[in-house]
Amino acid sequence: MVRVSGLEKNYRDGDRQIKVLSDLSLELRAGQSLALTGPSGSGKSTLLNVLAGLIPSDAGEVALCFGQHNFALHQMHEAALTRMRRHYIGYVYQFFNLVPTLTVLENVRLPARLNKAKELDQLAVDLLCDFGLGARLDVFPHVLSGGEQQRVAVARALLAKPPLILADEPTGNLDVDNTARVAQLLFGTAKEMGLSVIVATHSEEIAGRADQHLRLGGPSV
Amino acid sequence: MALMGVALGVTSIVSVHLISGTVARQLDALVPASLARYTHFMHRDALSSDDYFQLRRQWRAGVAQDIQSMSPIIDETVLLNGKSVRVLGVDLMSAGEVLRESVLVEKDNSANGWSWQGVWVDATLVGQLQYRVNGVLALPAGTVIADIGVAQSILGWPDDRLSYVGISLVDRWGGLKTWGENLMPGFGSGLPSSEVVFSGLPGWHVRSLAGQHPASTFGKSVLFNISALGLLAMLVSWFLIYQVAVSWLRRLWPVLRRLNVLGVQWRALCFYFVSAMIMVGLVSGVLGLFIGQALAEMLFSLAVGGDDAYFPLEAWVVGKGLLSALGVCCFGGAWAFRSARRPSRQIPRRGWLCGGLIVLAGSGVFFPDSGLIGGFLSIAILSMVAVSIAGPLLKWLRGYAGYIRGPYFLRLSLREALWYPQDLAVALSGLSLAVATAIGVTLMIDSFRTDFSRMLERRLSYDVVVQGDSAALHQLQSDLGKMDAVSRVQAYSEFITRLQGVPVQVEMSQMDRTETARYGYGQSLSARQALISEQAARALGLKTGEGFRLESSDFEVMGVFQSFGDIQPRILVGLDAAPIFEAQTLSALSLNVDTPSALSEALRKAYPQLELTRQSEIRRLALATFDRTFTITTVLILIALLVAAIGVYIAVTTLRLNKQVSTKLLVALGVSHAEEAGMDFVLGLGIGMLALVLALPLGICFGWILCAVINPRAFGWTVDLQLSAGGLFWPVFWGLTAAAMAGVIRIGRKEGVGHDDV
Ligand SMILES: Nc1ncnc2c1ncn2[C@@H]1O[C@H](COP(=O)(O)OP(=O)(O)O)[C@@H](O)[C@H]1O
Ligand SMILES: [Mg+2]
Repeated sequence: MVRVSGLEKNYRDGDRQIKVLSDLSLELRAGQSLALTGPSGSGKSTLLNVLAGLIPSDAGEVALCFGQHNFALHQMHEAALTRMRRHYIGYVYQFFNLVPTLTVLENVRLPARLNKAKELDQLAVDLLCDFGLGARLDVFPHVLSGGEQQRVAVARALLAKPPLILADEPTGNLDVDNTARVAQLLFGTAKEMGLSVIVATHSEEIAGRADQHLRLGGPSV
Repeated sequence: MALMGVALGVTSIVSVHLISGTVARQLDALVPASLARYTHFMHRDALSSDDYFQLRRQWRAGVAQDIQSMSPIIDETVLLNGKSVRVLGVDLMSAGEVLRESVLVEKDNSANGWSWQGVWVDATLVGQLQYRVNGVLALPAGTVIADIGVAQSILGWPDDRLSYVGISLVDRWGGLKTWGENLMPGFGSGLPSSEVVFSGLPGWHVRSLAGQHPASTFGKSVLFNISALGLLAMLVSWFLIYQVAVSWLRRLWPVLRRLNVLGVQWRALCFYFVSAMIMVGLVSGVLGLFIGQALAEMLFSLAVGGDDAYFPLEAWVVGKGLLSALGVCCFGGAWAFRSARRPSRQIPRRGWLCGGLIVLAGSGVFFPDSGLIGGFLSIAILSMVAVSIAGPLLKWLRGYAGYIRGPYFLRLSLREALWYPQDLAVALSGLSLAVATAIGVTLMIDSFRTDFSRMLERRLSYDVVVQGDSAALHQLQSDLGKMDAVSRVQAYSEFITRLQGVPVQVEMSQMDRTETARYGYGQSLSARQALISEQAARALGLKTGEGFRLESSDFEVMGVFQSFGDIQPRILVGLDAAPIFEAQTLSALSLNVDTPSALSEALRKAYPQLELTRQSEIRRLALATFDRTFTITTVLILIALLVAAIGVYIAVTTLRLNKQVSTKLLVALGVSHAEEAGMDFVLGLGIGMLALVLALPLGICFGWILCAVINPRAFGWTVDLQLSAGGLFWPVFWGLTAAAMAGVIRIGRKEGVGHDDV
């Protein structure tokens, strides 16, 4: 479960204060999905980064509850946040989701291997085959198309079945067909596995598939 | 960063130049000024003043046009009051002026100038001779200069005997040589000395000045080694400066491309970039000059311990340092810009080029006539080949990156080292060169040291050596016969003579099996047999089994022995041969005794006028001298390694630009800072190991060339190359450490927390 209340995040640009998120609250139950929409610069990525513990918030509470494990992000230090990320969160970016020096299969296995979970090796192969990438397991990412790369990224985020998947415009630079395919894989598999998904997107297709919908406004100076 | 990189490059160039320059000047002082104006010496058997006058007449008549001037010279070493003294006789008519000008300290007879019957001496001989002292000169210890006639009387020679005729030959390449010497101190001693033969003058040998002054030849050879190492240090510095240009451009590239999209011409952007590089080159070049001077002073006093070292920033070194910085910044910048715009341009027929270069290197190795320059040229060419294959090698290895297995952190970071060939190739070349040099030189020094100590082991088989006044030695010899504690007494006589114009040291002693075993020859010598040193074999062109003529008797060479550190060729003959020489006096006694320390004490008391040396002491001193000689070399290697490591550091900083996205990704996946640092460390190690792929074979090649080619040509001795673990370990260790450190260290970036997360 994700619970955010009274979240505030400002950036400092010289002596200007940019208020990106102010008094934001939301709640998402396990297995549910949430679509974040809003114009560019409205703070979607910022919110996802706060939820992943990559950047600190300025005020408010961010609590993640995964079964017995509860995390109050605003009270944790960096090492603990890193550890939490490793075990409980899957992340998908818009670009550059893959490590260029690892093959497709290695990229998918990477988070599981970081957790020393070798037993997931076979699952990685199965997942990639399901995603239509069975023939490309041992190639390096730079030869893949954009749609294929995003499918690999989704597979990686799902592999270890982390209770929370964060996706930042995962289909931002894909055509309609690929968008549909990636959305299908992301939401379909997540539902199957019972994982929560928070996705920032401009795509109606994706927003329509989510259980909840949160629209963010623009930043105020 | 760019500023620091270039400044360090210049620092290394300047300090190496200043150190070699100082050593060169000290060595030049070894040749007395009155002889320095001759380039060559002419000699013939039993040279007399009649021979000289006849030669002069022939020359005046037009034979041997290349000779510009000539004069008779006496140059012999004798024992005076138990001291070895070098007596130089010159024609005061022509040399007097030079002598008067170079008088250093005091004039004994300041009232009426100098006397024809007087002598000039170095400071150690003041008050030691019965001759009137005209002045004290800055000469090597134990040197006397006098008019020919006076020199003959000091030596007890007939008044028509001469040592040789000094001549100066027209040197067509003189200007070029001076240039080279200024640019690269020590360079001249590496040039092959061409044989001079005057067809119109049968019976005369012509030898270069170097042949007459083995001590200074020896020193110059050491110097040439240093200067060649300096050249390598400079090459590595150039790589560093070029790496700076490449890295900086890499950073600027996104901005430049955007500017081009906005309509700014590439040419203008290139101009902007190159001018910025030139500015960096200028500022950091000046900075490097001063740091380099300070560094040279520090290193020199550390290695040599002389406090009189003075390092002026003269025009040559300023020019060399600044031009290096500006030139490499300017051309390197332009080249980097060009290759950034048109990446992966292949040099056509690279394979053929490399093949041709290797053949050229081989010819430098296998043709002894190419001299030291030939040897070092082949080292330089091999370096170039290695450098030119660094890039392609990386590209080729990248194709196999998928085969790197193991833990994911290892995979990630090791592949990272192969992933960006264009960013790493330059730094990798620099590091490979530095490590290869380190390996080569360390192997050479190690092998040399092993040979040297083995020689000492064998040679120093006596417990005590006594030297000094001949009469006292005779007295001691008869006394020793009565002592039980003394198990062996070996008596030596020695004298210096000329063979084919070359001064050689002839040693006579009882050459039984025990004695010859010390020289690696297990048989006793008969009356007409001799052992000669490697230097003698080389200088006289002799081999085992060949014969030579000494004081009008024929001798056969039975063996050639290694004799490191000897500056003069040596010939050993048995006592049976003694009668053919003029009566010789005892010069040393070697003893084997039961209680060396007790006996030494007793003898020191009984014979205060004799000089006693324990062999263990000699051994310690010899090894200490050896180690000190090579300290400068080690320091230069460390400079080169340091510069190369900084090159790698700069390259790694550039790699980080490429890595930024994947680093961000890894952090999102939950990789901690400690793990990130660990990966950087492995990346550095990976780069170090890549460098070793090139450096190991190259370094072993260098080592072999140094031992089997450079050493015989420079010093006249061969060294057996030993691939010892110790010789390989330290260069490899320092190379890897430098690379790994370059991977981990980040200047100006605060490390995050999170050390507890491993
Ligand atoms: N590191 C930062 N420093 C300063 N301002 C930032 C930083 N990151 C984002 N911003 C600003 O915060 C606002 C929100 O950015 P972002 O969360 O990326 O929006 P979105 O993802 O919705 O497009 C933007 O105005 C952006 O300029
Ligand atoms: Mg965004």
